[in-house]
Amino acid sequence: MGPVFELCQAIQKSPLGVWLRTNIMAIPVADALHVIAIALVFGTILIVDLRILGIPSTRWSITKLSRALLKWTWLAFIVAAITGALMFVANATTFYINLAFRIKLVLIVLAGINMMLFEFITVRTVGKWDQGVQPPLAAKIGVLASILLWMCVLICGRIIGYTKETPFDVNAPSTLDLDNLHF
Amino acid sequence: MFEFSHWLEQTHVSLAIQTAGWVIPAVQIIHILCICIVLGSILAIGLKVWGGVLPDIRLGAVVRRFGPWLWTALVGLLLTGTILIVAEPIRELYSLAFWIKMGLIIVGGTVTAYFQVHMRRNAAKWDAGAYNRGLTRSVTALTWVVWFAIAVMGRWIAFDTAVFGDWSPHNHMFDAQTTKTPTP
Repeated sequence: MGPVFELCQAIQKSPLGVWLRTNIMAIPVADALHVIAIALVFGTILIVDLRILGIPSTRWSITKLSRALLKWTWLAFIVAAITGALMFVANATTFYINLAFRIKLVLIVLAGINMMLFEFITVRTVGKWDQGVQPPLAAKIGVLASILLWMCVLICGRIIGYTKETPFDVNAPSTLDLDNLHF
Repeated sequence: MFEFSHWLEQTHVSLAIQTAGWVIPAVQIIHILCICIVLGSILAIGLKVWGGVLPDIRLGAVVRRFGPWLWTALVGLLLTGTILIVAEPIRELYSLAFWIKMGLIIVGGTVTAYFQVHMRRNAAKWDAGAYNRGLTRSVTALTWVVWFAIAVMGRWIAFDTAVFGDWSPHNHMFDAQTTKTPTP
C-alpha cells in the first residue's frame, strides 16, 4: 500500500491513537471543537473579506478591523488544526485514502498562499483604500478567491463525513479466532 | 414520538429529500455557513463589549452592523434545520443532543433578542458610550456560552449514543416491543 500508508497505520496504532479511539468522549469533543473553530476561522475571514468587497459599506477602516479580528482567526485556526490532527491520528489510514480529505488539505494550503499574496503584495497600497473608498480590483479578486477557497474547504470537510470508511486493519489475519476477537 | 417520526419519514417531502442524495449534504453546508456568520457576528460584538476593540466605533454601531447578519443567519439555521429534521426525522428526534439543543435555542434566542431590543431602546445612550458595562458584559458572555453549547450539541447529534450512552433515545427505540422476562 506504500510507505505513507504504513506511516498512517503506525500513527493509528500509537498510544495516542489507541487512547483517542478507546476513550469514548475523545472524538466527539475534538469534533465539536473542530466545528466551532472552523466556523470562527471562516466567520472572521468573511467579515474582513466582505468589508474589502465594500459590504455592507466602506465606512470602517480595513486595517483596524482586520487588526481586531486577525488574532482570533489565527487562534481558531490553531484549534482547528490541533483538533483535526487528533481526529487524523485516531483513524489516520481512513483519512489518508479519502479523496475529499486530500483535496481539503491542498485547498487549505492554497488559501494560505492566497492570504500571503494578499498580505505581502496587495495590502501595500492599503493606505489609499483603507476607508471611505472602494478597494482596487486586485484586492477584491484576492478576497473573492479567499471566500471561494474557504467555502470549498468547508464543503470538502462535510464530504469527508459522508465518504470516510470505518477503520480497517490491512494486517488482519485471514481466519477469525473467535476466542480472541479484538478491535 | 415513534409514530410521528415514522410518519414524517414516509411523507412525500421526506422521501423526496432522502432519495435525492445531494440535498441533505447541501442543506448541511448552508447550515454550517450560517453557523459561521452567527459565531463571527457574536464574536465581533463580544470583542467590542469585552475587549473594547475598534475604539473609534461605538458599540451601537457595531451591533447595527452585525445584528442584521446575525438574525438573518439564525433564520437560515431555522429553515435549513427544519429541512434536515423533515429529511431524517428519526436521526434528529431520537437524539438527546437534539432536544438539549432545542431547549438551548429557546434560551439563546431569548437572550439574543433581549440584547437586541435593549440595544435599540438605548441606542442613543450606547452611542454616547454610557451603558451598564457589567450587565452588557454578562449578557454577552451568556450569549456566547449558549450558542457555543448549541453548536456542540448540534455536532453531537451524530454521536448521540457515544456521548449519552443509555440516556440516548436511540438505545430505547424498541423498548416497548421487547418482552421482559419476569424475575423469579
